[in-house]
Amino acid sequence: MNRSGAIGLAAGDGLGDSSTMLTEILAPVLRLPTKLEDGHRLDIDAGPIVVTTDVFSVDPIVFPGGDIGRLAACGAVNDLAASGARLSSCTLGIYASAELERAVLERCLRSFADVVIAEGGQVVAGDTKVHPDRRPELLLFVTALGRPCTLSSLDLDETRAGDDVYVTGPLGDHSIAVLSAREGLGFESVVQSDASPLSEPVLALAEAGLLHSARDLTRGGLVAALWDLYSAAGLACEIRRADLPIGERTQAAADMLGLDVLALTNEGCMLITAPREHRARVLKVLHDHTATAQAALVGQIADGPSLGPTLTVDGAGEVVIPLPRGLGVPRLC
Amino acid sequence: MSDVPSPRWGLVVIDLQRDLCHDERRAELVAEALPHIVKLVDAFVDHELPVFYTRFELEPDDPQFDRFGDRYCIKGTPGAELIDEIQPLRGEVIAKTKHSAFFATDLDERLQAAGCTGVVLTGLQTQICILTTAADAHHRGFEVVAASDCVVSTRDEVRLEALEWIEKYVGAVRTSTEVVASL
Repeated sequence: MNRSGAIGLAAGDGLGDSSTMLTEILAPVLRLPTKLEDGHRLDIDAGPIVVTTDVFSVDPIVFPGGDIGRLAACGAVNDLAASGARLSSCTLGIYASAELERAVLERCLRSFADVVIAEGGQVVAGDTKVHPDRRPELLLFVTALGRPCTLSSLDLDETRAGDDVYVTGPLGDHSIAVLSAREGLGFESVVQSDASPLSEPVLALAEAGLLHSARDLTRGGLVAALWDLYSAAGLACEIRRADLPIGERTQAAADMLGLDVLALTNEGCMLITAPREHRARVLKVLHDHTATAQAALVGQIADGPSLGPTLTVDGAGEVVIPLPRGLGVPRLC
Repeated sequence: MSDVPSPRWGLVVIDLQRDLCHDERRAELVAEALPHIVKLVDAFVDHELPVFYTRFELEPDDPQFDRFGDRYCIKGTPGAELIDEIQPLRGEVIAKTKHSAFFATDLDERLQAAGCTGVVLTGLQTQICILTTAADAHHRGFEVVAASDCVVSTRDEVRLEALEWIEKYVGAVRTSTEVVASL
């Protein structure tokens, strides 16, 4: 380890400092298996396994409401939950700057491990590479395996006409928190990332047979999910703008930047669809869990043909929601 | 300005630096705003109210240069100096590295130490540093006024949009004459 507190380039060369990194940080913080071999043998029950993989990059790596470790773990947990599965084991690849502070790395890895272990999961394999430049500070590569909790995989094409459409929490907070912390926009003290694991409420609903489909609202936000659903199921969501849970400050920040909250990234929010007859039970389960306490019924799946998902705004009627080619440049320059 | 009880105001003069003010895209607009800014500074000093000047002090490899496609106010360079037209300074200088003048600075503490409960914002650019400082000030509990003839954007329609946003969400917009009359 580097005396200045940075991890140093040698932490990734496979020799002494790498060993120190492994024994002093990675193994205890991530609670790695005691035997560290080239491969790890998993005992997997017969039957399907759900797998997901993702690369996590965020600037800054520590932001209001979380850090890249929590982001990565919640991302894996929520991708699996949206497929009806609970995380059982995962691998973690680390690509770090030699200038990264050891304390910051430890914090991020601890955040990652806390979420994984709370799920009953385990980090079973990993690798670390250290590069000499300042940026990126830290990238995390996660591949996660999950045990299905339900027969249904909650795929979007399991959505049915007439279903209720819910959003499990406030939209856009993660994007605004990260943008504000990176650029100094004045919202970092009042808007926090929503990065949270949603496995408990979503799998509780799925195990009770109350859900048809689920989609994690990460990149592209609600807009991307609505169009994904339209493409997968050939069904259009009819969303009511007034019912969408959006924090006043998040809306103000989005207006400041000229961004559409519906297209902003979330890290603890899902779109779910469920039969109308389950409405009371669905809302009770969601509102009984902290991470989904602000969930809202925001629309229905159309019974008839449509040109795409629609948004109804009070006083302005119904319009098809456009799918932008990109989020656009924040209106700053 | 607000009704009774009247806040104790502090004036924040944002980023009147050579690189930003002498840029040909906005030099003329800065020249138009400067007399109003100087008038406000004089009025604040006359009323024994504090004046703070902020300035960007950026590292040569600051990531915002890539995002904005421009380079400015690099720490230690002449371009980072405050412009001659506002010399001699009538208050304290606060170095900053992000858009909001509160981000990782002690502006909040200095305002509180001076007994201020409100800020009047001037300088540039309206849609970036004025806007974000206004938001931050509001979230920290300060009354906020943007002096409409003392703030500058490269494009005037953008300045007006930013002032509209401030009025909608975090504060008030007044002319320098109105501000002086209310001190």
